[in-house]
Amino acid sequence: MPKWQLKDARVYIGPYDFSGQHNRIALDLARAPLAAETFVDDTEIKDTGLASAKLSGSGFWEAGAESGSTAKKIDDALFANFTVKDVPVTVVPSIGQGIGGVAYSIQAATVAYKPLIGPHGQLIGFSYEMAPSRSRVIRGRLLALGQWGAADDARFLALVAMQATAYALTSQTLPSGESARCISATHATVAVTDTLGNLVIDGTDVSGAVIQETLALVSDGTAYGVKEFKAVTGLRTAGWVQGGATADTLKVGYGPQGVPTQLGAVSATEKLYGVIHAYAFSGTTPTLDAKIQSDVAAAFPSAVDKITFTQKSGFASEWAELAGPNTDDWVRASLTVAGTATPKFSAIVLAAIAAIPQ
Amino acid sequence: MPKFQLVAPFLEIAAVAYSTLIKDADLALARAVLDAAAGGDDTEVKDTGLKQVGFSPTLYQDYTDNGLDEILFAAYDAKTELAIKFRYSTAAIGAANPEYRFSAKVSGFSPISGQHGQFIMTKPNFVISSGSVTRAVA
Repeated sequence: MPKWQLKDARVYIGPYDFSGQHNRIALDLARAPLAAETFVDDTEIKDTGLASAKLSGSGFWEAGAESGSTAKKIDDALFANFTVKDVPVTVVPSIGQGIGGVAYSIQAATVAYKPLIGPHGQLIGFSYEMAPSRSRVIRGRLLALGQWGAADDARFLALVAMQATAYALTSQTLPSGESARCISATHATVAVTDTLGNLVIDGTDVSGAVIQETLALVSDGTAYGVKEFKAVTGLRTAGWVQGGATADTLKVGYGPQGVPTQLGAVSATEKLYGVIHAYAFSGTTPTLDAKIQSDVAAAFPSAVDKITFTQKSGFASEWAELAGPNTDDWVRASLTVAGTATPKFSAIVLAAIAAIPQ
Repeated sequence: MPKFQLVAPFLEIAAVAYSTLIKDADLALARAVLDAAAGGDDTEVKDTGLKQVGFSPTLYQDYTDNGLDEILFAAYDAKTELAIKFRYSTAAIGAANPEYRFSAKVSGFSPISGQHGQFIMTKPNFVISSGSVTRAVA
């Protein structure tokens, strides 16, 4: 079994990513032990009672705003949090797990904050404690992380006539800085529909490893892949046969959807939880419409919107809940970015299933 | 008499072995101490009452799918009972390698705790939730 080193944890407090200010984090969960022994027991038997949680963190203190940004620094955010509650806070033990990785979230109240810790000559520290102010601790899985721009359905292959040989790529890479994406392939009939066959995609994933995905093309529609491509190095069709005098057309890019994760079905006594932290943005009047969708299979043949977050136009965070049941066991995030001057958002989205207290 | 070195302890939680994640583990058995002094005694004599069991091993945290973190959180969240088995060696159970068994609930644990650069450890606290501790030698 692996040993996990605490070196790439992430801490999101409200709409801010404060991972770069923290060097210590602890989430402690407890349930009150309740005496439950009876005359038939010779041992002290315990049941477990109400849950409690404490999130404590510490690191290096900063105040003010980020240069050229309205982002708050840690002191501004934590001091402001003293007057509010239900702030979504998410801790990711290892961001290197990527999509599907573990994340813990609470809606928190800051119950203690120590700014300006340290003796003369030392780096100034801070520490805080938070406790749930509403709902419960959820253990979720990451559905989206990093920087997202607008979808581009012709990023890798601009609209071309289909052919039996490999295609000349329009681009091999995503826009600089953007997270790896699932591939989309859009077909359109020209006079007579061709025998479509499959699209074979060669490329590399977020770690640089070589990957390949075979996508069954959809007649006069868009087929979406389920693998995360950071770069595409080759596109070719397999089994394609021209149907009429002129070949159909094909374009290949990426849509707003993220990689599917098998979270499990939601029973009638459970809820689906969704949390988003939109912690950076750029462009002119950028907007982010984020959803959590579900379906019965990883290929998402008939995606259903389950949680739709309110539109974000800047720093924002949101906690959403949807009561079960939901028999779909696959979920994914869909992040639609719009605006002008190359709009981009950096965000994480997670989903979790937890029981409704009975 | 031989000395037993704690090199490869065995820990099983809900039928899954987590032996390679153990950093340290103490199984503490005690009995409540009852004041039994009465007329005629010039000393505070004690009797022993109900058994008490404490088990809070320190384990390397594991976030892999179906790994330790997922098992602990699910049991903590749903208040489900887990079967615990603990012996000093992963070798076969025997008279010299007895296995302690009990059923317990998770009354607390830390999903993430530590300082940058350290291994992430967790120290779940198990409370016995039914029956008692048994000591198996076969």
